[in-house]
Amino acid sequence: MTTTAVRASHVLDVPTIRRDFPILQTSVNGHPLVYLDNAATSQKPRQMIDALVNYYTFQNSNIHRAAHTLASTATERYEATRQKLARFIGAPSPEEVIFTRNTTEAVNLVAFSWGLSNVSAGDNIVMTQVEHHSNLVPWQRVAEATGATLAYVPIDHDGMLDLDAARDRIGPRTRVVAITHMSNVFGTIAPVADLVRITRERAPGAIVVVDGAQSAPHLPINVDALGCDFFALSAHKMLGPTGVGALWGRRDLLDAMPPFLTGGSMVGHVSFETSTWAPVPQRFEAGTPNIADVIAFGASIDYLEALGMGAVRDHEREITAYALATLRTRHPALTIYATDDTRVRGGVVAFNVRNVHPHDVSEVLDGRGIAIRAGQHCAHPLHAILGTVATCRASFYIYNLHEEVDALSDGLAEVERVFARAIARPSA
Amino acid sequence: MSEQNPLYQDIILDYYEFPRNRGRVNDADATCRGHNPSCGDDLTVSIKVTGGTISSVMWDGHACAISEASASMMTEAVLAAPTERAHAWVRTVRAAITGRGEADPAIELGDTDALRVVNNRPARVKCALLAWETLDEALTLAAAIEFRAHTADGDA
Repeated sequence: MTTTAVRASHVLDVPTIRRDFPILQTSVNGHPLVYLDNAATSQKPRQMIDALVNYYTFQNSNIHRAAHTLASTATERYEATRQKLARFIGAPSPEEVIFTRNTTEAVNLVAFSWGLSNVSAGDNIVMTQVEHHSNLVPWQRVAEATGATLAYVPIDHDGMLDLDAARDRIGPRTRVVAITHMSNVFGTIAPVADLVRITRERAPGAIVVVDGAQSAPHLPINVDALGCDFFALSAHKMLGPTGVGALWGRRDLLDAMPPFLTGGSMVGHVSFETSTWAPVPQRFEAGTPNIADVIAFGASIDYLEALGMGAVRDHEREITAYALATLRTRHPALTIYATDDTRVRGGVVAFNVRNVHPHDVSEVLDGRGIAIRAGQHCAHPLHAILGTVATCRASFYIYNLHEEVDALSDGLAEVERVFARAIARPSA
Repeated sequence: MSEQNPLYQDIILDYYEFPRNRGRVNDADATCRGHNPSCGDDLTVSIKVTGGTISSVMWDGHACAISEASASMMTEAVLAAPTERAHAWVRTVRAAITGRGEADPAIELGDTDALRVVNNRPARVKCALLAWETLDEALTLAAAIEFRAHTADGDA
C-alpha cells in the first residue's frame, strides 16, 4: 500500500549513522529499540560521549581562571564550542552566544533581564497558541510583575499561525513577541521572518524571542536571516548532553542588559559595597559553568555539520512524508494533527487513536520496544484548544529508518486489536 | 490474534469498555477531582454518605484504560460500605499496587486484584491509584463537612 515511498534515505547514510549511536544497538522489553521520542531528547553519538569521557579523563580543569596548562586547554575547548555554535546558527559573533542550562533558562534570562527592565504596565506581550511552557510561563511572570497584558497568535486548522491575527495583536504597545520556531506538538514551522517583519513595522520597540529548541536540531538556522533578537536552544535535543542550552542575542541588546544570575566570574570589580559587571557573554555565565558538557556539545555540532543540516532536513521531510502516508493509509481510526505539507513541518507527528488514551497507546508500543511520547508535551493550553486531554507524539531524527515507521504502524495495529471494542464505540 | 496483552487483560478491558457508576452523584456530600498533570488523567469522584455508609459513589472524567477501569472497580468495591471499610479498601489497594503500607486482611480484592499488573510499571502506578486517592480525599472532605455541621448544630 505504501510501497510508492522510497525505502531508503537518499540524503543520509542512515545505517552508517546508526552505528555511531550505542543505544540504538540495545533492546527494550525484548525488542530492538525503536526510538521515536526525539522531540523530547535525541540519542547521543559515541563521538559526543567520547568527548565527555576524554574531558574528564585528560582535561578536567576550571576555566577562565588559573594560568596552568590544563585550565587553558579547558578554556580553549569551552570557547571553541561557543565559536562552533555561533557559526552553526549564523550568529555574527561568538560573544553573542551565552551558555545556559537549557532553553528554559535561556528564555528566563531574557524575560528577567530584558523583560523586567523594559516592559511596563499597559505594554503587551504577544505569544502564539503553540508555545511550549518554556516560552510562555516566564512571560506570564513578566506580565504579572510589570502589569503588562498577554495576547496569543492563534493557529488555523492546519496548525499554522494566522498572520492576519498576528498583525491584529502586535501593536505600538507590544514589547515582546515570543515565538516557538517549530512546534513541539505539531512540528509546524513558524514563519519567523514574516513575524519579525510585522513586528518591526507595527512595534519598533519590541524584541522577538525565538524558542529554537525544536528547530535548531532539525533545520538549517541563520539567526541573522531570521532577523530575530534572541534565539534559545538546548544541546540535548541535538545530539548533545543534557544540562547545556544556549541563548543567542543581538550584541547591542545584550550589552545593555543587567545580569540574570550573579556571583563569580560574571563581574568586573567587586568591593564590599558594590560590583561592576563583566562584558558579555561572561556577564551572563555566573559561577563555574557546565564545562564538560559544553565541550562535549562541540562534538555534537561537529557531527551535525559533517552531515549538513540541509541533508538532515531533507531526510526528515522524507521520513515524515512516509510516516504520514503510512499512518493515514493503514490506520483510519487515527486523528493526525496539523498539515501534511512537509515544506512547513518538521519530523514530529501528533496523533490520537479514537477512544484510546495516549498513555495506553504508548504502553502497548513500549511493550514492543517502541518509544513515543504520550501526554500534553508541556503545552497544556494548546491541548485545551484541541479539545483533547492528551496526544501521542512520534518524532524522528537522523538515525530513524522507514522500517521503524513500519514498526510503529505494526504496534498501532496491536493497539487497534487490544482496544477494538473501545474504538468501535461512538466517540465519547 | 487472541493472546492477551500483559497489561491490558480482559478483566481490565471489560471494566474500561463497560464503565460502572460513571457520572456525578446528585446532592453529593463531597466531590473531588484527581489529576495527573504529566499524562492528562483527570477524574472526578463524588460520594454521598448516609449514616456512616457510602450510599452513592460515582466517577466521571477522562483518563487512560487503567485509570478508568480502576475507577469503576473502586465504585463497585465501596458502594454501600461503611466509610471505615472504604478507608480499609483504599489502604489495601494502595498496598497491593505499591507494596507500601498495610493491607487490611478483611478485604478481599476480587476483580480489583487485576490492578497488580502495574506493580513493575512505575509510570502506571499513579494511574491505577488515581480514583482511590481521590476517593480518600472525598471521604476526608465528607467527614470534615459532617463534623462541622455537627459542631454547628451543637453550638446552636
